[in-house]
Amino acid sequence: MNWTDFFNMGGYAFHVWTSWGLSLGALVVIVILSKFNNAKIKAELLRQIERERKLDSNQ
Amino acid sequence: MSTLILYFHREWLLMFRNTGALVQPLVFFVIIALLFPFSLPAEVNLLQSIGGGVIWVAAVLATLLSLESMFHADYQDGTLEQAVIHQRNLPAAMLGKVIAHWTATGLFLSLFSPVLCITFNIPVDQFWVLFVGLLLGTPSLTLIGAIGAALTVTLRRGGVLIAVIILPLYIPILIFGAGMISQSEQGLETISQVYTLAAILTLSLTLAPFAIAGALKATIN
Amino acid sequence: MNPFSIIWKFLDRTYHRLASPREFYGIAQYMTPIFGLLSLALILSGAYLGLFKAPADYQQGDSFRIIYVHVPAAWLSLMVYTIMAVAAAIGMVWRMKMAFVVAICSAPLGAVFTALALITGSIWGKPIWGTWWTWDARLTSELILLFLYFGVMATYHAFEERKTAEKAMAMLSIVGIVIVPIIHYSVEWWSSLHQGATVFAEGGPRMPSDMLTPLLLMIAGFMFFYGYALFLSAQNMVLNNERKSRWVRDLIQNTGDSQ
Repeated sequence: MNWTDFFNMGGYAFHVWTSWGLSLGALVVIVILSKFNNAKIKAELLRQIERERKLDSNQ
Repeated sequence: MSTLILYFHREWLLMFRNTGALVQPLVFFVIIALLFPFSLPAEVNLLQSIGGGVIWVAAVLATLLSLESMFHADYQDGTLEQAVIHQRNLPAAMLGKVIAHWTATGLFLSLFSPVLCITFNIPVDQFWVLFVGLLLGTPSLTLIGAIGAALTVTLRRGGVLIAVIILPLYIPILIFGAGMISQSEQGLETISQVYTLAAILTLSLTLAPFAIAGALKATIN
Repeated sequence: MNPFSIIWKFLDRTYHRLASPREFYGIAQYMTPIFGLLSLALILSGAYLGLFKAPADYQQGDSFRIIYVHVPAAWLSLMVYTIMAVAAAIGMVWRMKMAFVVAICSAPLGAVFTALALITGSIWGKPIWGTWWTWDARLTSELILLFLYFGVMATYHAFEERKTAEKAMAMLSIVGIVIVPIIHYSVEWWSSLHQGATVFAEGGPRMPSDMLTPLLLMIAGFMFFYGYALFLSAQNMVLNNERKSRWVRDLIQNTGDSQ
């Protein structure tokens, strides 16, 4: 197996690698965004709960 | 059936009391179509070959423009809400309303299309092709568009959203309507497109009223 | 008890468990790793076989390897739309909260798959057809599908009240699924009128199995990825929607304390 030949893709390197890169990249981005969103929502909810707890203890 | 006629009649009375609003879509239709010759090289052949398509696009845009006002006044004065709550036969009522709306837009546009054909140098024997196409296609445009209008009636700025959700759904009608003209210009039979447009019309006549009623029930309240 | 009623009972129970946001969240919690790992394994093995083992096409050379991302994306774009519309219909008929969540979370995922199918298709078209874009029936239908996804997403985000937004979005997806076949048929008719012979022969030559296996692996991998991403974003949406409920508060506090 020759790696240069493999990356060259028979002259179609640009087309094959952009397609694969974009597709798999998009899937990775979806997962990262979902995880990021999850952390954001949880942090937001936690802050809200803390705030309400403080309000309760002040009363 | 009586609900349908009742709503049709009511809509007619309301529309013809306001003649200014009535001619707006028609004027818009003509202006859009007449913008094209100005933006293109002055060649008789080119105008003739794109004329049918341009008139169809103008009809689609004119229908789209008229959609926003379809339910708006009724929503503002609360009539629509009452209809959604009390009307047992909401799909029939809405069908009556949509048909009335079509007579003021699509029917006018179709009747007026030969005048535009003249300006695009479309041969006289092709006039009826465009006319029949518009006559069969524009009711479907109004029926499908009414679903979008019903979905966006409660929104303050629903106009752009109607365009975004409805224009993709108009593509089949546009394809067959404009395809009819280009087919007949090549001297080919157009009967299959007539049947297809009629089939789409039948489908939208039977299904769209329920979708409109569903959309109104979903968004009002 | 006959086997039928056992199956029925199981389905009934699953349905009711899935219908409750809390139960759904729990199920999703242990389903996500399974779906994620399965999808990773399938995509990696598909990529390995597709990029290293599959022989180059005798006509298109190595450029045909784009098929292994293009076809799964195109397939998923339609599958996700169907799932979205079915979920929307279930939500409308049985007033099921979770069905709306599934439908709404599917829309952006489907739009991404559609966009990928379009982009990879156009990159593939450059060496094979000689242009980035042709008004080919499949490309055109895919483009219209992308606009339908945009319409559904725009409708959901236009409404302030969530319940209204859910129902409006559901109505539009149901209308869309009725029209999608008509669009597809009309675009096909139209492109046969405009174009000569399409590049791909109808039916096409049969693929040898060393080319087909990676394709099937990739399709399966994309499907599991969709499930994985759907569970992730549905969990986020459930947390957001049920933020006032007891169990979400307990859950958040537990994770917050453990950190």
